[in-house]
Parts: sequence; C-alpha cells; structure tokens
Amino acid sequence: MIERRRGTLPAGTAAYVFEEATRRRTAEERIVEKLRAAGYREAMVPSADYLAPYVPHLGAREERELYRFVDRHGDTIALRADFTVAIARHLAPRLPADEETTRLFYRGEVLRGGGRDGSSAEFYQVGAELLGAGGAQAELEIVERCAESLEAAEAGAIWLVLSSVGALDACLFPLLGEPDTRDLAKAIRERRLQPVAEATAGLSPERREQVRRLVEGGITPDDPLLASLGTAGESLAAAARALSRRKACDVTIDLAETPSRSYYTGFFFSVFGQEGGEPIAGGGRYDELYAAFGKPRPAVGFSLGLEALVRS
Amino acid sequence: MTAALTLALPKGRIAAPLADFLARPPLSLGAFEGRRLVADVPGKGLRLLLLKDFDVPTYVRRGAADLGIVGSDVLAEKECEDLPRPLEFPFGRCRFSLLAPAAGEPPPEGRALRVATKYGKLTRDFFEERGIAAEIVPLAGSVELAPRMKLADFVADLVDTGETMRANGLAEVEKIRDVAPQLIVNRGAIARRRREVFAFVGLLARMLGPDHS
Repeated sequence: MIERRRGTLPAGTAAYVFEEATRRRTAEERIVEKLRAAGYREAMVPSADYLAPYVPHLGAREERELYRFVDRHGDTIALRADFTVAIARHLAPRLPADEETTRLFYRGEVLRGGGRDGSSAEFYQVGAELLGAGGAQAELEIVERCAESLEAAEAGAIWLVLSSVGALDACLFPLLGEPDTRDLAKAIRERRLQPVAEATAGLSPERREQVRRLVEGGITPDDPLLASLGTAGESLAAAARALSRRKACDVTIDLAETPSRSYYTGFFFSVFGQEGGEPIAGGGRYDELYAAFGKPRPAVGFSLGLEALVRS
Repeated sequence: MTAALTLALPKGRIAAPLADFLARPPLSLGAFEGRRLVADVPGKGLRLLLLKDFDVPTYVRRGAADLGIVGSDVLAEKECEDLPRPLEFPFGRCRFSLLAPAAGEPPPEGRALRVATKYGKLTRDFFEERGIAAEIVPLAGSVELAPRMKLADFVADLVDTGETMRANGLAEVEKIRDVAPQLIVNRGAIARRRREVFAFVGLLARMLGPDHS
C-alpha cells in the first residue's frame, strides 16, 4: 500500500507559486540572457542517470548525499546531483576533436543531501562552463560570468573567496620544512587555533604570523605567501586584482577553504551573499574530468542556486 | 554603524560554566535576564541568542547566528563537524559512553541489542563500525531509565561525574568519544566579517590563557 501524506513535502523540498515563482523565473531569464550574449550555448542533460559512470567522480560526502533507486530493470539510478559530471558524460562523445573552446550553460534542478536540519535538498541551478581553455584568463572569465549573473539576478553585494586545490599544502611545506603537512593543513582548514598553535610552537614569529594568515584567510594579492605557489599564486593574485575592480564585490584569497566538489583540480571559488552561512554560488577548474570520458581538455565552470538569490 | 556579531549560546549542561567564563573580563558578559532569549550587549558589538544546544549548529550553519558555542557531541550528531571551529573550551568536558545495568542478566542472544539514546547517529555509527547489530531506541531525555523499564539493554549518553549513571544502577561499558564545547563559526560570517570574527575569536582565546591563542 502506498503511504499517503497530503499536507507536507518531502524533507528539503519546496513549492513556489505566484510572485515567488515569477521572481525566480525572472532572475533565471536575466541570467540566461547574459550568458547567451556572452556566447554560451545551452546544454540539457537527463534528471536521472545510471549511477555507475558517476562513482569515480564522487567524494564520500557527495556519494552519501545522492538520491538513488533501483529501476524496473534492476539498474541503480541516481537523481541529478550535479550538472558538471552529467554534462561531461553526455557531451564528451559529441565534442569535435578540433574545436578549441566550448562555452555552454545549463539550468535545472539538482537533488542532494538536505533534510536532517531542515536544509534544502532540491536546488534550481544555473551554471556555465568553459571547456578547452586552461590558464588564469579562462578562470577570470568564469568568475566574471558568475558575478555578472548574480548582478543580473539583483543579488546585491557579494563576497568572493578565491582559493586553489593543493595551495595550502604548497604554502606549508616551505614554512614547516617537512614533507608531511597533512595534520596542520587539516587543523588550518577547520580553523582550529589550538592544534595550529601546538604544531607551530617551534617556528619563528614571522612564520607563525604567516600561518595565522592562512588560518584567518584574508590573504591579499601582494602577500608573499602567494609567491611560494608559483603559477597558481600568480593566477590567484591576478584574479583578485581584476575582480576587486567590480562594484559591490569584496574579493579575498583564502587558502583554508575546502573545495565544494571533489573533481576540482586547481583554482576554485565561493561566493557569499549578504546573508546566510553557505555560499550562493561557486565554481572551479576541473581539468581531469573530460579525460575520464575520453576527451581530455581543461575545463572551468560555475553554478549558482536560485533559491538563495530570490528567497523572500 | 556595523551590525552586531550574533553569538548563539546553548541552554543545558554547559550553560553555567560557559556563563562563568563569559563573565570574565575583558568580555564581562552578564547573565540572561528573566525569560529573554535574545540580548544585545551594549558597547561590545554582540547580540546573544539563547538556544537549545541541538539548535545551535542549525542557527550557525544557516547564518542566523555568526558564531555559536556547542558541545562536540551535538556537532557530530548533527553532522556539522565541517563548520569552522576555532576554539575548544576547557570546561564542560565529559565523555559519550555506552552504559549497561551494573547488575543483572546480560541481554539475550539471538536478537539485536536495544540501545536507548538521544544520539541516534553517533550510536548507530559506533555499532556499525564494530559490525554489531543494534536497534536504536530514540529518546528525548531520561535515557538512564530505559534499561530498568525493559525498553533497552544499553544506554548511550554523556557521562560527567557518573552520579546520574550510578544513581540509576548503570555502569560504563565503553567510552565512545570525548566531548568538549567548541566555538563554531559560519563560513559566510568569515567571508563577510573576517576581521571582526577573528578579533572576537582572539579575544576568547586570550581569555582562555596562553595555551589557547
């Protein structure tokens, strides 16, 4: 017998009607108009797919957050939890070998996590991807598209936090002078002052001050810490300088940030709005994903959740 | 004028030692008056919220509070250990343990163990790691009573002095994890108000003494 619940919704889902629905759709249309004008073409992927091709690209948390079921044929199906991997899987076989760059955007629901503390499980995402372009210029283009999209949705002031996978460990190695920086890096990512103080007690005051800046995360483009990162540091500094020219946009570099998706391989960023504890948008570089689907090429993208933008 | 930083404080077990700590100079915070649940602290740039401890991580994660203080037991149970947590406090520490009747028959074989607890996730994780079949009996309080009333074979709960445990005829079988109050911060507050947040964290660290800053 099918259980009947009439008055409530499944945990983490919501319905929108009338003004709320209109506001969301208006924001979406404005964002899409901007992306189209910038040369991005739409990609559509199924809202449910076989789980197996996605498993190698899922971290432990991402796998736990999936909604999955066994279909009538006995195959395990996952509901779409993320567009990026789905697009790579469906787009890679169709990508021409000679196309230098591909710009695409997507929109639609994703379902993941949520529930226990009343947090959302269903998000309506709009995002864009730039395939076939490595380097800082492509990363800057994607962050600019993200900031423009938020502006089009009238998100108000934003706080951009830039980071890079592996950068924290790369900074710590010369500071500590020993190869195993994992425990200290973990304490810094958790911003835990006491274990950080214990691990750095033997360092010079200058080096302890550098570690403090890593914990607190307000790193400026001129910070010598970035110099130890080579190209990654130069890219972060250049992006921070360029983006700080935007209006109503605070930019900082925070190497203690943890990437939101496990497939990020280098530069990544989060965007916070005027309220709320979680980012309203984010993105990053994922240069290994397309190789896994047979068409190696660098890639960088962003996504934003409309719910957080137009919440009344 | 800059808006106040919002700090969520827990009612319950750690409220009294926490109030003693926050009353120390230079913070010198007074106690909540009457039945008020929110209090602005003049001259300190702080707004205090008084919440049930299990609600503190929700307020902080969702940005209704910039910072919060809550036990590591609650953070783990609510799957909020990924929140930045700059400080651990030396007071209000205890342990989360598995308890069983001090006397009496062992639980019958051939069925899953029944364990009464307020901490369903932590308890389930503990038994799963050991490959032991356990049926969780979720309770909101007075869990020590459950074995006596044949509702459960074991109890998983916090043990401080052990007085409540012994008064209810229970003994500690195994410590599951140590518990300590933690200061937690939401990521949005760090992005938007980095200097103020870490200035406040630094103030609390200095109040804790030289080992904590």
